[in-house]
Amino acid sequence: MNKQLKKGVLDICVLHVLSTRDAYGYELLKELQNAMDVKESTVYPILTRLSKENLLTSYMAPSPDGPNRKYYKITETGTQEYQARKDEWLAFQTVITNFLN
Amino acid sequence: MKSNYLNNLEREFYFVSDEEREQIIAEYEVHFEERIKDGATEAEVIANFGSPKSVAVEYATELGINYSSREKFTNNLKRDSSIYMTNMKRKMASIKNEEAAKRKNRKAATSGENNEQTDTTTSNNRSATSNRGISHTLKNIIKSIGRLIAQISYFLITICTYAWKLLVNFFVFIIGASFTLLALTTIGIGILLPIFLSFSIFAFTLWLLIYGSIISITVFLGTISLMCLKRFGRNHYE
Repeated sequence: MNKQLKKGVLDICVLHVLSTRDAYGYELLKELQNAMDVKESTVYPILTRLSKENLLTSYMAPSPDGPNRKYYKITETGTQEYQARKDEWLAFQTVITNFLN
Repeated sequence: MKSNYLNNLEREFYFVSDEEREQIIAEYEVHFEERIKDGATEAEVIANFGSPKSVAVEYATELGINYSSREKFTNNLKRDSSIYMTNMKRKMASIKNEEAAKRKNRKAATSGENNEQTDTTTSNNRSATSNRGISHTLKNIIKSIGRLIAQISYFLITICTYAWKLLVNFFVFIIGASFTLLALTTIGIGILLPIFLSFSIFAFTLWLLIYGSIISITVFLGTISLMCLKRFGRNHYE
């Protein structure tokens, strides 16, 4: 899939997963990779950027074995942003689909 | 291989604060561990991730930070020294943890032995375990000294490389500057040299005259004062 096309959509996908539950980076990556083709290193910078935009917060939690995991949690503004972007995407998608048909 | 990769990654993330860098590397470390747990080899994880530089560039572009491959000298040094410090801290912490764990094990072992053995043999056992403990601590001390030396030498080497770079730059600058100076002055020398030479000969003779007279006067005065001391001083004191 085109890199530019995927870029904006990945944000929505990440927010979607986190709107259901908190998750740490690798967990999130795996969930995304189950559904689509995602490069390993793309998710982590996205998570940092979304955190900087105050859409996510993070906290550390110990794992049963190995180093501590950094869990991400969606914020109030994050939920609003997710809804807005999702609606936007769905509207956009129907427009394009109609056009291409 | 993994730690090597993470170290290289840490080096590439020069553009974030120390705290952020630590968190980023921790996250990638978790990724490594979990991927390996899921059945991948370290080489596969690295191959999927890409080179440390590409990861850092991707990160920087995502956050809108300008990643320049030609980092500044001070940036390098700052980053390396901070990485060195965090590495040292980590190592110290791990050594402390090891020590604590060993101590616990030893305590557990000795208490177990004491319960099993009769009173007459416990004293022997105790001395044996204490001996073992001393040799252990000695070994650990030697080990930690070795580590410290290695760390210091690593630090010195990095400093030396930077110093060398600086030196080379300095020499290149000096050589360039001197060549341009030479080119500029060759024209001037043709005119000025005869004047300069005659002037310097005159100055040299003047110098000889002045210094010669000064020296001869001091020598003369010195001998006179010495003679005076010999003649009168001693008598006076005696």
